[in-house]
Amino acid sequence: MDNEVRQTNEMAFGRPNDEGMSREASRVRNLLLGLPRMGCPADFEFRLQRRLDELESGVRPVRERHGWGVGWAGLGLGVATALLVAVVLFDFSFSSRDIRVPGAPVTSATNAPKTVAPPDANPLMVSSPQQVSPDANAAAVHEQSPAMAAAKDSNTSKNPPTALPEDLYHMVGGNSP
Amino acid sequence: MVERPVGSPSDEDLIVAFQGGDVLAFDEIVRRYRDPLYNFVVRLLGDTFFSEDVVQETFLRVYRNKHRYHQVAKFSTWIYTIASNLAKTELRRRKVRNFFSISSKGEDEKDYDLVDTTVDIEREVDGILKTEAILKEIDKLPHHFKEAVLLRDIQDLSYEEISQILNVPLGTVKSRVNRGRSRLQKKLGFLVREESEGG
Repeated sequence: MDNEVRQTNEMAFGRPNDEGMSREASRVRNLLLGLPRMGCPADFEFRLQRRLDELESGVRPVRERHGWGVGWAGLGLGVATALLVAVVLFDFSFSSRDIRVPGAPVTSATNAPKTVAPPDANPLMVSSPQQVSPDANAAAVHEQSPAMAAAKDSNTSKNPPTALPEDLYHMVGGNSP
Repeated sequence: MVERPVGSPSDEDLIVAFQGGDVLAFDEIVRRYRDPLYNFVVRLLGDTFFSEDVVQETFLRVYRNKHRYHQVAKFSTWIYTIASNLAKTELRRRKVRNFFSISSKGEDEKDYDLVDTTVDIEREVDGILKTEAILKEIDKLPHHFKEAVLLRDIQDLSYEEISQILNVPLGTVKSRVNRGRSRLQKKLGFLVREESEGG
């Protein structure tokens, strides 16, 4: 009798440790137990055997290889992205910037005046476009600063401009004879 | 539950034989567990392609790690634990994939292969619709409820086994199963009533 009751209970409420379950819950359980069972595809064992053979022969499983491939691709993509971000952020492009020596005053190479002399330059040296004779030059110096005119040139070995040997003419600007 | 003919070796005997080098014992394990595991994983993932992969991977793990099994636990608990963990990993991957891609499939378009069992078209359609409705609601359950309900009410495992598989206390398993059932009951009210009227 007891056995019969237990069997009836099991049929209605499932296995013994579901005792005390409500009727509604037992109906849900019955619905779920009544769901169609899924079976493996027909070639399941063939594919499993192939993978086992690969495992035995030491070939890395396809899934694992795929994982590695994706991993390396991800790493490459990450590095490329980092480089791109670095280029955008820090602007390594030299073309748009002036190249200058550290510590040098900031000047724009493209805008720098090429023919204008600095304000403290000797006007006799650069401002006159026509040629000045050595005597006239000396007279002008004497006129402006007698002390400078009286001072001797410290470089005694220097050739005076008038005494330049013929074979060195090419070193001086202007028309060579 | 995995059925085995009377007088045939138990699962534990088979894995011990396999540990001793008997490859035929492994074949018998595969024969016994392929369909129950597949049924469990398909219901958990709602997808046949990845489920087959997960079940194959489960058997490969058993094959590779056969010496890790010790007879303190039931073999069924061990193999279901492996399958469950692999299914969780697959679900995590899927979340990442879904995050990065726009899926063409909607929530309601799952790949459920239904078993062709009846000849009567009307009953067949009715059965399919009912099954789809149930599966859809199971799929909407939070993962920890779904897993517990599937193991208890579809795989028909005991609470003790489920507790070991999920590595949670017995009380937690019972609570999860009850809460899962109660949610299903609310959602499938009309089917539950039909069930009670039908017998």
